[in-house]
Amino acid sequence: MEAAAQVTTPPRVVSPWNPANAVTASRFITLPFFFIAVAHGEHQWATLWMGICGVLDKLDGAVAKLFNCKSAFGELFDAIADGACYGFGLIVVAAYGWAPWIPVISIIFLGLANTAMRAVYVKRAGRTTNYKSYAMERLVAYTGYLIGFATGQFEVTYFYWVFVPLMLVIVLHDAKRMLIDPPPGATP
Amino acid sequence: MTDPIVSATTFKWFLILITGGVSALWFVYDVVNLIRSRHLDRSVGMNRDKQFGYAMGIVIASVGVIGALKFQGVI
Repeated sequence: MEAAAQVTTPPRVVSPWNPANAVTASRFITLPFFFIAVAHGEHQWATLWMGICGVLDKLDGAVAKLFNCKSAFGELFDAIADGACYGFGLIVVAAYGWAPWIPVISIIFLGLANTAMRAVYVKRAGRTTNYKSYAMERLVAYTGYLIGFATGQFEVTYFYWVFVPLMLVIVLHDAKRMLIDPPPGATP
Repeated sequence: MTDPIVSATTFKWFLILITGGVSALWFVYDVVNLIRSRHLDRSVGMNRDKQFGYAMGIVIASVGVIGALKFQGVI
C-alpha cells in the first residue's frame, strides 16, 4: 500500500506535432497573402489577412486547452511566431510607407532585445520554459493592432509613437525579472 | 483580391469599433483585475508582475480609446 502510494505518475510527454502547434504554424500561411495585399495597395485585404493571423494567435491557446496539449515548447513556438509574424508585418508596412520607420525600427530592436533576454532566462532557469509577462502579453496584442492601424490608415502616427515608450518601460521592467531576479524554482 | 471588401464608411466604422470597443472593454477588464489583485502578496514576484501587467493594460486600453476618439474627430 505504502509502495503504491510512493509510485508517482511520470510527467506527461506532449508531442510537438499537436493541433495547437498546427494552429500556431498556420499563422505563417497568412503572411504571403498579407504581403501581396500591401504590395498592391489593398488596405482592406491587408487588414483582413493580419486580422486572421491575430485571431489564430488567440485560437492556439484555446486549442491547446481543448486537446490538452499545452507544452513549454508550444509556448515558446507561439512567442517565436508572434515575433516572426508581427516583425514581418511591421517591416512590410514601413517598407511601403504605410507606417513611420523610426518607431518600427525601435520596436523591432526592443523585440529582439526581449527575445535575447528570454534566452538568457531559459539558460538561468536550466530548462525549457516560457517567461510569462502579463504586461508583455498586452503589448503583443497592441503590436497586432499596430499593423492593422497601418493597413487601415487609422491614426498611424499617434499609435506608433505612443507605442515606443510603453514598450521601453515594459521591456525594462521584464529585463529586471529575466536577468536579475531568481527564476521560479531556483534555490536561493 | 482587387476590390475592397466593404465600403470605405463601413471599413472606417469597423476600425473604430474594433479599436475603441475592444479598448473600452479591455479597460474595464483590467481595472477589475487590478482591484481584485490589490490584496495579493507583493513579496511574490508573479503577483507584482500581475499588478504591473494590469496597470499597463489600463494604460494601453486608454491609448486605444483616445486613438479611436481622435480618428472620429472628437479629440
